[in-house]
Amino acid sequence: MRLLTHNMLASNARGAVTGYPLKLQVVKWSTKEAEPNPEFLRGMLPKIDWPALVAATQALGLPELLPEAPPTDAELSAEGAAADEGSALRRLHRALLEIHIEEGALVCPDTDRCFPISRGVPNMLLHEDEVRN
Amino acid sequence: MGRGRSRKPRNFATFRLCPRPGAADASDRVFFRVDNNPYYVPGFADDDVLGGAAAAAVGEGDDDAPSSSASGETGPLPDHVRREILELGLPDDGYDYLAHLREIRPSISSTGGGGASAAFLPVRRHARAHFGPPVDVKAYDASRVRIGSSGKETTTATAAAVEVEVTRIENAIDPDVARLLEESGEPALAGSESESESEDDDLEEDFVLVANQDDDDFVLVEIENQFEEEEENIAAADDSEEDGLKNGECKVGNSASA
Repeated sequence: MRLLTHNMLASNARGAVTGYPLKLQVVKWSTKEAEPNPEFLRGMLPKIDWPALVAATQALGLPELLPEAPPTDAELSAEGAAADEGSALRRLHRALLEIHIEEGALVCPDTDRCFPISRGVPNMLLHEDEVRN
Repeated sequence: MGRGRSRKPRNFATFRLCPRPGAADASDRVFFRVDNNPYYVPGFADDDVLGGAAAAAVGEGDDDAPSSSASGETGPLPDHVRREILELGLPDDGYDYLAHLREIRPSISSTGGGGASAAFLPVRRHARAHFGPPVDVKAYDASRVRIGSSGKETTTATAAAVEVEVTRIENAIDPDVARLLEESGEPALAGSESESESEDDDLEEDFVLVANQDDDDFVLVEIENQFEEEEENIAAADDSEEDGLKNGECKVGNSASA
């Protein structure tokens, strides 16, 4: 599961007020190289909940990967940013698309319902009594 | 007795949980239907969807999600939903993970942007009606002068006219009054007959004379007005005599023909 996916998921269990952001408990994670796509990142950035993304990278033990404030369009559009490993574009790309959570769990902040992550796939299924009417 | 009884429809289905063919993991199991009933079970359209749903429920959520929940919630998903699921990095196993997504909206522009722009329509006030200038007293004086020049009024009116003329005599000295008289005289001269023109000229002469005379000479003005009335009366009498002659001529003609 990518951090991009984690940034979008929310718990819709009964009793959850917002169900977001899900707390990330990581047991195993990996990095898979992907081709940078600046256009995709610029289009996706407005939809990203930045504090949740930073918290996720901190849960992975990478507190220095992303800054506290989201990058600006100018930083993402800087010439040579796609090739520079230390640029804001490449760091955002790595956080969103190259990091994969293999084993762990997602915890609802409202109900503490635990959703296991197995072999990179989050299991968001609910019991019958947990489904909202 | 038994021949007339109809058979009840077979509205049930039987499934058996078996390991997926070719799967290395023993826990990877799928549901297989083992009966031949024509009854259709919602959510179990075909084997692929059934296999995928069963794998998602048993293989991944065996401890947390009961099979009844999986069978109730899973089913064939539209293509656009499946495509979106794959784009987000979620597995395409028949479960609609989009139901677990938060409300996605641009977070950067949460404080600004958008909003309907108000159209500014300036309120046009109707201009106030433009009132003309105040009544021109000089024009009034000119009309009074015309009344004095008619000559048909009675003696009392003539006396009143004289008094008014006395008032205007004071104004006659003022160049504006003289200009007004000239302006009032010009249209009259252009539009009226020769007799009216001569009357206006006489009137101006009277004004000039009166302006240069003392108060004792007012009698002269009255005498002149009386003369004018007598002349008019004579002219009227002449007109009536001419009318009588014309009538006589007509009468003579009628008797001759008889």
